[in-house]
Amino acid sequence: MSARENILNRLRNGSASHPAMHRNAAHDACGQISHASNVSITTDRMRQQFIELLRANHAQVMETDDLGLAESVVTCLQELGITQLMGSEEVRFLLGEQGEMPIQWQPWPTKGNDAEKKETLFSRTPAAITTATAGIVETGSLVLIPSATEPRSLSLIPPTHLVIIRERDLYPDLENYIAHSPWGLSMPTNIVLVSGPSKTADIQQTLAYGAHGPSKLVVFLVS
Amino acid sequence: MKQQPEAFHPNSTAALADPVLRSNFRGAMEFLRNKRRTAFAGVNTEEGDFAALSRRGEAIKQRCLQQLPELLEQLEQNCTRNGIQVHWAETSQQANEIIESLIRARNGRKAVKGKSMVTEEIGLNEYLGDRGVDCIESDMGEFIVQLAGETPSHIIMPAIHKDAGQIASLFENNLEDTPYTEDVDQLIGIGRQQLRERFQHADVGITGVNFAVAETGTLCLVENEGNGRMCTTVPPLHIAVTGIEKVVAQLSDVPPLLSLLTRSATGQKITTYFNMISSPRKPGEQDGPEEVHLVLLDNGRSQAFADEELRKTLQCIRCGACMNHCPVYTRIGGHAYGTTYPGPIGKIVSPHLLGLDATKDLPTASSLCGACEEVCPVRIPIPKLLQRLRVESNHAGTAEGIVRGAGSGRKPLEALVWKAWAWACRHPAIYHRGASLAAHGRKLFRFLPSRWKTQRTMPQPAQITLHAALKNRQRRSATPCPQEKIS
Ligand code: SF4
Repeated sequence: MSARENILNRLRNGSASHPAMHRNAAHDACGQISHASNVSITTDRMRQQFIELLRANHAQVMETDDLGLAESVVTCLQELGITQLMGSEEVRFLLGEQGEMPIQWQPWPTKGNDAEKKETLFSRTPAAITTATAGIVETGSLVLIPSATEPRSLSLIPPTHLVIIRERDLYPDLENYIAHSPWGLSMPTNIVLVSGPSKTADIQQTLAYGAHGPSKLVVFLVS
Repeated sequence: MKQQPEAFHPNSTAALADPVLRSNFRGAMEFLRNKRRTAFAGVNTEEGDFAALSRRGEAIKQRCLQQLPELLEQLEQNCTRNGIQVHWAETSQQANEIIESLIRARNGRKAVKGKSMVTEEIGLNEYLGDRGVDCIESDMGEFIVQLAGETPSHIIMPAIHKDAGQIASLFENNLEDTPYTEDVDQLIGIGRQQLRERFQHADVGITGVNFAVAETGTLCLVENEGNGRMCTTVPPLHIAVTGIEKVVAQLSDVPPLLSLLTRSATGQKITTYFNMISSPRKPGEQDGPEEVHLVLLDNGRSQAFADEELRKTLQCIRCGACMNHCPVYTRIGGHAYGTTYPGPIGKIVSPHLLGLDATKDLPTASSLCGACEEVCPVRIPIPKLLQRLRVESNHAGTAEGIVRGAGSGRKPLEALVWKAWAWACRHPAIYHRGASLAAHGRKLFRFLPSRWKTQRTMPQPAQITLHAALKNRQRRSATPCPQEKIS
């Protein structure tokens, strides 16, 4: 018999000796973090909490609107001394005419094999910009759903990561977001919640940023 | 790495005598305990507190365990539908063989590993190393520990036993062109540089799993550094390894468990990254692994599952809170246990993985103070399970003796003493005779050979036995007191 059958048989025998009732999820709802209070929380309070938590986790947050977005991005990059930015065509379009901007737009490397693309990402990409699908207020998290146009590496490999999120996409907490999410049972390849720049406290419990992922995270919250 | 729980006694004696180790652990444990306390202080639940939240965590894990075989099949089905290939391993050996064959099939030689206790459990690094696959740890703590040729001493913070100075020397002596520095930012920068190179050129990324969601076929990974994301994004092959108990029924089971896990482990509301992987790279996608595999490991877990009480061991979400609060762990550290999982959780899980014969000392290394149970986010009754394992260890072939190696802790002399005691209790004359003999010879007790005396004062029997004292009292009350007559 295969390992699979052996394991499953042992577990089934184990279950049979203790035929406890199968309960469903509704039965263990005690201790649920309350959402009731969120109704009274104004969007303003939600926005405030979201920003505070992100900042507490060492993310830089810029509040802006559609018209001011491009300028905010440029100012931020100038402050960081970065002249080159990788991102999707959609974001490029969103930011308007790049010709007027003092940044060099770097498209995702479409030519070459995986090894060459990796070389570009690891060695020649100082910063990347992506969009966030949603924001989780309770924990100050950005929900990123990478896609063909915004690949997973964009938010991971370059040392600086810029994220655009819209205020209307804020959800009170993760449970609430999952309950409202459009993907149902067929999930996207990858979903990642990002709540700050990469960090570690593995050396003598001292917090250090930029462990393996981006050491700088800048969030543009668009009203 | 060779596991040596048999050496628990000499190891713990040595650890207690090491002042640097003790101060490193003391500082670290205090830090983690405070962080956890603050993280739960602000929790706003309908019932108001940690107790309510942990009851929910317990209920979710128990419900999922009750349906474990069905959920595993569902997980397999949905992963397969998504393009994740599922493998089953009964033992460490089988798991290692599966992983090696997957790497071989792609001619892989360079592996990067995200932090994963289960791959420590199966000794994967050594196994692959012996077969020409270079497997490098990418979690900063694990990287440090691997460089030092050691094993993790804590399941959340692997290098907690080392201070910055020790790590500075380690880097200076083992990494090229690295000057001595105790500056933590610089040390992390050095690690980052070393490992980015590895991520970029790795043939395979190997990780654990924090939650595997049956209904969607999704693997969830919780981390702060980004190395888990690197391992699951950059190399062309991703192999995830997990114990069979990590499966949950549905996506909505994840948020409460995630919240309990991060708050209990590091006192964070959430970690920097929460990564959900549901398939390999799809057509049209630009990056991500071409192949994703999931290895489901039993390795003694189904034995714990077979018993209703011991099954609770499998509720564990590996947060490490029980070790941070354990008076034994905080003093002897993680290495003394000689097992992959140290501390209270290690004491209740290792007997299933390694057998009670090898681990019989572990359940006895507890004062049963109950601190571990109090902080456990899924309410595992650890002290009760320790007592149960002590019984298992002393009784073979009884109803209780279901754990592999049961009865191995039985000592003939001890058994004989208990037998004699039971017999004496059934024979009052003999019992009283013995008790009064002990009372008379009480001064001699401190000469009895016993380990008890090395740390404590040997107790003495009372001068008069309880029985005799009661008899005297009855005799006295039979003659009425003079005062009573006056009144
Ligand atoms: S036994 Fe409880 S406290 Fe200990 S690691 Fe597991 S979940 Fe955490």
